[in-house]
This record gives sequence, structure tokens and C-alpha cells, in this order.
Amino acid sequence: MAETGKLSHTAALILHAIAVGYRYGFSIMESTGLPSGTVYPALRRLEAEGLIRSQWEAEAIAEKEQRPPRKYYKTTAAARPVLEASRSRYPLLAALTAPAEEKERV
Amino acid sequence: MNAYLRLLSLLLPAQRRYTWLSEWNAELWHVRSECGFGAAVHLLRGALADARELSALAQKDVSAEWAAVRPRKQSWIQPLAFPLVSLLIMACAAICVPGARDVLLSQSYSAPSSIVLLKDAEQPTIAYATYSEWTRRRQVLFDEFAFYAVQKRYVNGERLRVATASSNLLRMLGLGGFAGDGMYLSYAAAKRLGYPSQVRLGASMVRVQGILPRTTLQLWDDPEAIVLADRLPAGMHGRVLGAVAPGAPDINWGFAVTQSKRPPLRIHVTPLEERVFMPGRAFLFACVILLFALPGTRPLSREDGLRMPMRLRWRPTIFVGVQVLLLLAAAYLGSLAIAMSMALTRPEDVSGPQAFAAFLLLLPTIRLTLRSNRHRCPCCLRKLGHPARVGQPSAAFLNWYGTELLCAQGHGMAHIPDMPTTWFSEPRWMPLDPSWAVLFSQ
Repeated sequence: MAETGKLSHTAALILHAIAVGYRYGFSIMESTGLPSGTVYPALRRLEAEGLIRSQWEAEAIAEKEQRPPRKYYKTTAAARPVLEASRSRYPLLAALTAPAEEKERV
Repeated sequence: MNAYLRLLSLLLPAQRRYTWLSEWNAELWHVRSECGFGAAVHLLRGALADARELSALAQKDVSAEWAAVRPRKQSWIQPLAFPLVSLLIMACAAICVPGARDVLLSQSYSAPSSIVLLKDAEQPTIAYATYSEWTRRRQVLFDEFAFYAVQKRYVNGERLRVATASSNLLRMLGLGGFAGDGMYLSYAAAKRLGYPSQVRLGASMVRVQGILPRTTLQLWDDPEAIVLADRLPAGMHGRVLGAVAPGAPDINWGFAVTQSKRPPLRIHVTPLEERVFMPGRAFLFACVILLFALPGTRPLSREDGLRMPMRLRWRPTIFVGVQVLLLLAAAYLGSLAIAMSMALTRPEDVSGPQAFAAFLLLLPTIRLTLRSNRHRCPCCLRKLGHPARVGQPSAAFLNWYGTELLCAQGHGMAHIPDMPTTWFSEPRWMPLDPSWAVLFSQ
């Protein structure tokens, strides 16, 4: 696990985006303005460090809507102190990423 | 796009490919359907970086799994198991092959190097009368001569090659304990006749004075029994052996003997040593060849050898030395068993196969031992573990890449380059100072 407050600005921004409700790769890209080459590797690292966990969408829902199931990301309990430390270290995080709409929160 | 993603997925470990492809396909599908083709291409740009990141994380996991494996306890006997088992197998093989067993169980006999066969250039045998004349003349080249003639005769109903010899023959051959008139049997002949105390030779009974030790009777014409006598018929033709006097001029291949009223005899000289199979010499020859061949297949020196403390330099050297000694013993027995199992009768024919077999046995095993010891900690002599790949081969032209092995006891790590570079051309030992001890407290 990453040490509290030691997250890079980009990683903190992505973690914050997930925490406020952007739950899949492309929406995180759009909300943060970061390229895919930054977002997806960062998601891998954050998951490896136990700050986020991924979950596949239920097959039944995807089949009903006739689309492939998507992989969603969610922050873990371990991410809370890291996020708080990151927010105090990077005060503009909240301003950079607006909370996701209700649709994104599904 | 799918083909590109499939290609990138090859960077990943097999068990992660399907999940990774599913996620990216799903993302692309959604982006294409919601934002159009351009956004999908924009998204796809990050796939390579993602695949590389995931691949690196997977490698870390593998390293962590390696690290989680506790080193097995190693006893002192374990590294010596291979040479010891080899020695045991080869000893069994040597005992099972009759010829090799005879060589191993024989008393240590080596024919005196001064004994030579004197052969007339015209015919292989010399008359007893000529031999008698030589013994009476003052000698410059020789101390003494011995005579023997081999005939096939019936001994206790068995047809044997019996040598009738002058009484000094066995003494001259270095078998001083065997003296006195009578018959001396070779070990094989005595075994064949049932170790008799006297035998019927033709029409008369002859007392058996002794049984010659195994492998000692290596005379020309291969006699199986020797009858010593003070006087022999003057017309008898046989072999004449001479003991070259110390300090005599070098007779090399032969010399001429002047005779009164007759043309001089041209005598050829053949050392008896050529008849006696000396397995040690053939093996020694193989070892010398090995000394030249081994550095060609494996570098013997360590790049860091001179920088290491004396204690760390000697300990692995002694350890390797013990292993090599055991392997040498195993190869000696193995080569002897192989050479003797080829059923070659002439000793000079056995030496070649033995040397060849010894070389073939020694080269791979010693090479394997040296290689194995490169991966051993010089402090505790345990095998190094926790391999970690360092560097990327494709980008290592001016850099270096290879493997790092760690001593589980925390003594240090070995850098083993995959290819020689200006930085590392040979494996290098890097000792860890006591500040690292906290990592190895378990």
C-alpha cells in the first residue's frame, strides 16, 4: 500500500475521481482530462496497492442492454486516509474533478 | 482495433490476457457507440502503456511469489550428493566388470621401467645358446638377462600356455618373493585348475610354488604358467628380457651386437611398460587434455575473485576442490569399467578407450559443477535463490541485463550477466553490509 500522503498528483486525481463516482476508465479520462496512457496504468497500480478494487458488471444487465459488460472501479476502505492526506496535500483536487452525475454512480 | 489489442495482449501473462482484452473491448465498444470512432482511437493510444504496466506488475507478483518461498534447509551433504552418487555408481560398475575388478583388487604392481624385450630384427625369438653367451660376456648396457619360451602344454588336462624360463625371470620382473624351481601359475590359471598344490605337466608331476598376483603377468606370448629352471636346452628359442643398467647410454629403439665369426645381430628394443596396462597413466593423460579443454567451455576465473576477502576466496575453492576430487575418482572408476568392458586383449589397446571415456565423463560433470557453484553463496555455500531479472534485453546494447540472485541468509547477491558487457563480463558477488540484516532476521 502507498504511504499516506505520498501519492503523486495524477494518482491522487484519479483516486479522487473514482471516489466521487467516476467508475470506469473512459469516464475517469473525461473527468480528469488525462490521456488513456496515464489513466489505465494508474488504475492498475492503484488496484495493486489495494486503494481501489475492480468489479465486472453483471452479465445479465449487459445482455439485457445488448452491450459488453463493463469493468467498474471502486475505492476501498484503505483509500480513505490516503484520499484525505492527498486532499490536504493537493487542495485543488476537488476543484479539478466535479462529482459525477447520478447516471455515473450506477 | 481488435487485432491491435490482441497483439498487445501477447505482452501479458496468459492468465491475464482474457480479462484485459474483455475490459478494453468493452471500453472501446462504449466509447465508439457514445463518442464516435475518433474518441475510440484516442482511447486506444493508452492500451500499449496499460499492457506494459500490467506486464510489469505481473512480473513483480512472480518475484513476490519467489520471495515467499522459504529457502529449503540445506545440509552439508546435499551439494556433495551428485559427486558421491556418481562415485558409488561408478564403483559398482567397476566391480561388476571382471577386468576392471582385477585391476582394482590387484596388488600394486608396476613393472620395472628398466625391463626391455630384446628382439632379433630377423626373427622374434633368440636361441638359448645366444642368451647364454650374452650372460657370460661383460655387459655395458645391461645388468642381467632373463630367458623364457612359451609352449602350449597340458597341465592337469587343461591346455595352457606354459613358459619355461631362466630362474631369475620373476626376480627380474620385480616379483622377488617368487623364487625356487617349480611352477608358478597366473591367478586366472590357478582359478581354472582349482588352486592345486602340484600339477601334472606332460608325464611328470610338478610342484606349484606360487600363484602370481593378478595382472602381473604381462609378458609377450601371454604365458599362463611359468616353470623356472637353472638350465634349458641350448637349441630352445625364446624371448630374452634385459634389465637396462642405470646410467647406460640411451639405447632408444635398438642396437647391434657383435658376434665372433658371424655377422652382427641387430637387436630391437621394446620396453615392458608398453605391455603392462597402467590405468593411471591413461587417466592422467585425459586430465591433462581436460585442463586445456575446460577453459574453452567455461571461464574458470571469477571477475570479482581478487576483490574478495581471503576467507571468502578459499572457502568456495576448497568446496569445489572436494567436489572435483570426488568426480575424478568416479571418472577413474567409470572409465576403467568402460575400457575393460570392451574386451580388448592388448593393454595398449585399452589405454586409448580409457582416456577417451575419462575425458567424456569428466568434461560435462566438472563443467556442471563449476556452473552450479557460481550460484552458491561464498560465505555459507548455500545455493542462491530469489532470482530477479534486471534490465531489458532489447535496450541493453550499452547497458547490462541479467539475473540477480540473493543469499537467503543475507550475505549478499550475485549479479549474473546474460551477455558480457563492459560493466559486467562475468558473474560478480556483491556482499551486503550488516545494515541489511534487518531484512533477513527471519
